[in-house]
Amino acid sequence: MVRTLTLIAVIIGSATLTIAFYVPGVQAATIVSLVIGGLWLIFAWFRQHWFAMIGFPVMSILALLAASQEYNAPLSAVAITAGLTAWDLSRFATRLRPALQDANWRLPARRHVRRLLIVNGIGLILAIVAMMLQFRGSFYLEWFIAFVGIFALFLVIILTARFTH
Amino acid sequence: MRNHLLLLGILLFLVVLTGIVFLRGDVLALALPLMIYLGLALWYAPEKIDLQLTREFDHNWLSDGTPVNVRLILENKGSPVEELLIQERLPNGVKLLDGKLTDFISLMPGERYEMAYEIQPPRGQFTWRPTTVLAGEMFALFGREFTIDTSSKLNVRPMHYTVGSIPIRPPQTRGFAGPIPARQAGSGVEFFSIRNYQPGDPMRHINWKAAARHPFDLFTNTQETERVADVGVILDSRSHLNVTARGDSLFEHSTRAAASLAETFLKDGNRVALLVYGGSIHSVFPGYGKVQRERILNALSSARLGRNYALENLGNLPTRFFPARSQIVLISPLQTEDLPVLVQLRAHGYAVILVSPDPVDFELYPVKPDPAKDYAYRLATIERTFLIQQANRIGVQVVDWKVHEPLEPAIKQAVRLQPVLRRL
Repeated sequence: MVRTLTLIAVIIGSATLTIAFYVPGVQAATIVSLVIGGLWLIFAWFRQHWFAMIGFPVMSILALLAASQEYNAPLSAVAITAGLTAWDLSRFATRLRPALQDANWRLPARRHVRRLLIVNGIGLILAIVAMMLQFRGSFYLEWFIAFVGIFALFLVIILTARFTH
Repeated sequence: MRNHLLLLGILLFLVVLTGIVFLRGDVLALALPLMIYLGLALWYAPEKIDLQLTREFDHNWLSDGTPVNVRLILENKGSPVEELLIQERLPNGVKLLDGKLTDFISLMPGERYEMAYEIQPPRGQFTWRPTTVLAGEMFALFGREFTIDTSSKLNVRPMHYTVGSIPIRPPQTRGFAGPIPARQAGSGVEFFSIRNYQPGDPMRHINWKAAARHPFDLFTNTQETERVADVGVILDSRSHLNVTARGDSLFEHSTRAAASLAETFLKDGNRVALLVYGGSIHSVFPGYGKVQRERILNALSSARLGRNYALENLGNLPTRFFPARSQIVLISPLQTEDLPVLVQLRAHGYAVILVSPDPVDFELYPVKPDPAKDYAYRLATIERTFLIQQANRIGVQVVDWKVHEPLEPAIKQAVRLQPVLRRL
């Protein structure tokens, strides 16, 4: 189940990115989207989940590129969400791997997938809604958001240190 | 987990930064799925992970080959843990019969989880390695992997055979009453000798036949007193004498024989010592009773095969470890180089019983080759027969034990057939 969903998420992510770049005729990015999607599919098929650590950043950067170049922002949102889903499922499969032989893993797997799909579905809907309801703010407001972003990043780093040690 | 969190943080920062740099709201909106994902992980992150683990065995002292049920009880005394991966690792050599060693669960505060499995450990002393636990929230961004050490130990003793009392006759016995004829006149059952009548001797002990032959003298029958003895059990653990076949080891049978004999001698009230001779010399000093039995079984449960160039033959056997003129029981497949040591032991006045598990029979069982065709088998058999004959000739009571047959009849037969040397 986890692998199938990972494969579906990778296909969706790669396909949306390919469409986003193919329609305006950006050949190089289209090829890169196809290649990264194809590679991720192959690695996911053979349960090489480490590739998600490459596939997800590349897919996110491509989505960011597509959105920033005004190619197709909603498709980029779909791609980034699909990439996030595939990345999470790959990590989950890695965690679950030692338990596959012995444990009753189906129940926690089903629960995890359900939560992930809900969270990412809400994230995607909010992103698309935000894209549709755009408003123009002042430069200072954007700087404020940037500071909030930096603060959030510092918070993440501090929390990481706290949970690691 | 830290790498994953860092990657997500960097990507989120990059998206937000790009949105600000390009002054694009739709780019900023791309950060929303990532932010919600990260925010939810942060919300559900366990504040304090406090897991207590206990491991219980249904019995701590057991014989090899006995199945043991193990219960692993995990209790959450901290925050809720959405995802908990428990990985139990068995000590080397322990076979899992039933149950699971890994589980993936959720554990709420105060909740207990029990994992059970059944194992079959071989002989030995086993210490469980720490259990690996991966605990975190549902997206495993703020979780951590750690080990919980419960320091569980399991002592698996050698299985022992039922062996009845063995009629040993060591030259020297101890002062306490026991089952072994002491070659001394005293209170006992068996006739020992006659002596001149002394006033106070009971009338029923007078030997009337002797008195009839000597009209002016009376003679009294004396009985042989029965005492306990010193018994030294020597287990040969030299690896080059061991044979393995069909996943079984001849040394395991030797260990079981040592445990059985030590228990039998202790049950008869004797003082028993143990010496494991192989890679090193491990000894249990002479002692009586149940405590000594525990000591010996513990020593046997940790006995291992080993090779030490100084101990390649029995030449360095510390014979003075055993009291003079006591009974020695050597459990060894034996090699030709060991015969002079047996001669030396006999010369020092020890009574020696050699329990020799047959390596040739052990290796070939259950198929016995035709000696007329298989020259190797024939030569090995002849060599062993010759060795046993030589040991017999020097006054050692040899138990030629085929390990797939019961030990007791082999011992009883060998000890009964051997003439007891009264004078040394």
